[in-house]
Amino acid sequence: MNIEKIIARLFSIAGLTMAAIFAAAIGFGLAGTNASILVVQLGICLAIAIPVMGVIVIMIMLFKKHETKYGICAIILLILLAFTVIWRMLA
Amino acid sequence: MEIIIIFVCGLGAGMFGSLVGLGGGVIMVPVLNLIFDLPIKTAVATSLCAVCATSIGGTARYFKKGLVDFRMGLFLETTTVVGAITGSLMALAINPQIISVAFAVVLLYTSANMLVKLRSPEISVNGNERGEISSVRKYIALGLSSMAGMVSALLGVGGGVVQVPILHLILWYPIKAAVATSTYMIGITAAAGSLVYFLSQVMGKVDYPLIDYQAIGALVIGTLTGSNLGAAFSSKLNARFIKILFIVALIYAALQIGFKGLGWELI
Repeated sequence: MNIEKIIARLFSIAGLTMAAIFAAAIGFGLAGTNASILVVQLGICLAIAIPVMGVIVIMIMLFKKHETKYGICAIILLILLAFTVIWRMLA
Repeated sequence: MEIIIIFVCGLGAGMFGSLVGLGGGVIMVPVLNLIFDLPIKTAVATSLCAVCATSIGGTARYFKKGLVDFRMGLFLETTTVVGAITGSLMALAINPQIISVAFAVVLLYTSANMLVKLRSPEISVNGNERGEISSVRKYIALGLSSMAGMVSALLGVGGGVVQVPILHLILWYPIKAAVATSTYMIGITAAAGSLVYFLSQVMGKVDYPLIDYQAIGALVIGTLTGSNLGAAFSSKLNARFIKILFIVALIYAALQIGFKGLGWELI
């Protein structure tokens, strides 16, 4: 299976899961339960994690296909993103 | 009732965002700020989180169609982040008003350039594939992408307004491939930005909510559905129509940035 198909499937499944979580959060919110905040936070975590997860999967697949140049590029991107987040949190 | 309006707003923003590769913040921020009275920082943080969903929904479709050049996307994204870090370091030394006006002029020039080339045929091989691009053009694109990151950090502008023209005008990507690759790239940038907002809120670094928990659910479901629909419609739409949509968005973004630089307000 090529990288495009794997990422398409990963994003589709993760997107559907995320939509289900947010739908549950709306349901809990309308019912007035406190669980809705936790479920929303879970959904937000998933929304943030999916694009990063995509980069990690692409990186692994690129190394598997011996496309080292682009694989290293993905690693540098992940390091830079982590650095940016930590830097902005400490500022 | 509020949930339905937010869902419709997300649907429209997601559809527009994935059609032009901008994310849809240009629609969501004013709606959340003006209609739902959310503070501007909350509107920005909430819409940034929804932009992740736009990217996820749109990218899934575009990857299926083989329109995303993730290799070039990763390359450009890396230089953009480097530019963004440099821009943040330079923020204290540079007057943002001058940069805003200069950047608005560049965006207007880019939209005029795209308008002039509206009728010219796209260089493409086998529909979605690109023609061979010289390495000089690739390096120019990397340099411009780095500058785009710098300007984004200085002015708080989304990356799509710069990445789509770079991919289309410099690297000669067909507009649909440029939009698809940009949709993928904005998700990565938005995820990093959203994580900072989310952590700040959870760790109690701010005394007001940055991400609105009541609005985000309907907004994400709306943008996810809209971006899927937008990416699905994209293949049925004429490339020229998508270019016109993008040019309109670009002119709006240019006016917004320029007016902000001059101290005026534009909705």
